Amino acid sequence: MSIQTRLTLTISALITSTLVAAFLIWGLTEFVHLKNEQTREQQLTLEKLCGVCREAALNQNDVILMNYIELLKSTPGFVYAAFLDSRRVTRVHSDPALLSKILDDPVSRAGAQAEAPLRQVYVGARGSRIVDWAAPVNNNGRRLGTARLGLDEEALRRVIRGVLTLTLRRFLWVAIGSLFVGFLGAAFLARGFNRPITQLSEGVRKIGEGDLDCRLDLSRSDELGYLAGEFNRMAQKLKELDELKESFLNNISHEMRSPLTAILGYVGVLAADKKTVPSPLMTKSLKIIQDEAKRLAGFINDILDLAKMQADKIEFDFREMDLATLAREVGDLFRPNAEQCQIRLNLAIDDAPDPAAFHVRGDREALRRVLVNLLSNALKFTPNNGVVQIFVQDRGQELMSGVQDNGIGIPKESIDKLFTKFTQVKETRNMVRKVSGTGLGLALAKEIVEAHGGRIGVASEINKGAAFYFILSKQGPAVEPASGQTIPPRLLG
Amino acid sequence: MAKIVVCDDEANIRGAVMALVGMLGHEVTGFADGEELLDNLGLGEHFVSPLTPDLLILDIRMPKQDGFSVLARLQADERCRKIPVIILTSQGKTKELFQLAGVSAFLEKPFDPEALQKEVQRFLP
Repeated sequence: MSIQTRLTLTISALITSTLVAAFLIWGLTEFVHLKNEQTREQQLTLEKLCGVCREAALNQNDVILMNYIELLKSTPGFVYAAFLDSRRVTRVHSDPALLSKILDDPVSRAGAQAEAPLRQVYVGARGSRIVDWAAPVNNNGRRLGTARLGLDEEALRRVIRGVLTLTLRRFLWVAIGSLFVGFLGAAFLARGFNRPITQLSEGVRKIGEGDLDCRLDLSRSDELGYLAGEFNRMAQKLKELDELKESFLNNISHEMRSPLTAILGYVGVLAADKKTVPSPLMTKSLKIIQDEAKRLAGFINDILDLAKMQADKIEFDFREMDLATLAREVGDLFRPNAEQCQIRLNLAIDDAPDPAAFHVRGDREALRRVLVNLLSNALKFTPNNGVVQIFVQDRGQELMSGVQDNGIGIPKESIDKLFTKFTQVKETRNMVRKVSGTGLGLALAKEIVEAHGGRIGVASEINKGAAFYFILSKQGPAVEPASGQTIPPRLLG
Repeated sequence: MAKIVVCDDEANIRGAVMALVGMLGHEVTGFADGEELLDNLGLGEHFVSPLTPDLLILDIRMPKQDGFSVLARLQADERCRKIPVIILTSQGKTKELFQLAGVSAFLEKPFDPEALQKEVQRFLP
């Protein structure tokens, strides 16, 4: 769930629960208040009725009482009003049928004995519940009779319910309105948070992709603004570190290459000097100096090139070239080396009627480096009398090339780590011959192949050999490599 | 006998290059920085009787005047524009270097002595 949705939902829920709680509390208070008010009103009416009854009894004039009762009929829930004399005989009654009757029901008896206003509830003749109020009518301590007022309980409730319903309706409108406003407010607030968060995550993604110039422009004084500020500081720091690394690499490259250049140059001078005839020991020594200096130079070059490739700072020279020719050249280059180790070096290049079948857009020198790396690895890890094969296969839109051998193979758990720098599978070290290497070759090969828009992989089984292959699109790096499944070459062993 | 000028601030590299090129039977002169080189080509601020070499072997990273500014000065001069220049550098093949006008060949340090000799022979058979 997005922050926006969550915030909106939370705020809406908060508003709703607040409104519901407020309404419950208010409704309950209002209900009690209305009920009390109604009771007080009834008592007042009863009091007035008592007054009129007394008046009527003292003046022996029932007409005013009858008129008054006639007036009372309009009060909500009115059922009856009556004046009973001290013997419970109805002197005046709103129902003419009950005039001059002795009322002997329990409610009337209790009412007639009441010293103060008495409220009783009973079920009337029609089945409805009736609230009966009875109050003594006294004159100077002498009881003249009892005034009675009957009201329909249901009707009284209806009055309260009507008032409450009306307010509830108003309340609902207010609730809907505030929910709407709250919803809008929450959405607005969430959008306010969302934008900087999106910006921040976008920035983090860019930094992760290596765009160290990425800065965020969030002029906010809250935590998000603070975060953006910290982000910019971090990006600045990373950029400084990157520049430091860059200048460090440049310095190293210069400081190490210069002496190596002088060493190799003078070895070259000695080797090319035709005036003196060197002794065999001198020749051998020069060869060793040269080889070791070259090895060191190669290592420095690999490290620097890898660093540059990973920083995308190498310019490749993409041209139409023939991969099969390149494979043959690399094979020829290593043939003496392979013979020395008694390894059979084969070329497996498909017969293709189309002379352009193995043409690919690529950087010839870079791809040569890939093949050289793969081949020298294979020669290192293949025992004497083994077989090493360079292959190039036409796969329609793609070319697959690589090197396979029937050597010691690679344990499964090490395959993933192979293409990271400085990795050499531990168990294979010193298993075949004294294996030396910087562990940079495959990392470089991977960078080069990926810069060509291709993919590199390995299929291997322990003691059966390994097949390192790379697949390039013939169109070159501009075209996305076909997403077809990569079928690795079959192993030799 | 052709005249070759080698310009590199590292004395030992300059020495090796001069020895390798000298072996081919050319007259080799060495300079330690761009300023010295430009002076001797008659392009500098100090007057020296100008030298017009048949080939220039140039380093890029040098004190005072670096290889880039030397190349720029050479391009600006009618007489020196035609001199072939072999760049000998440890800077690596950056795009910057590829696009420089007036660069005839490019060798990366540490260079292969035989390759250097071959390049020189290409321009001065």
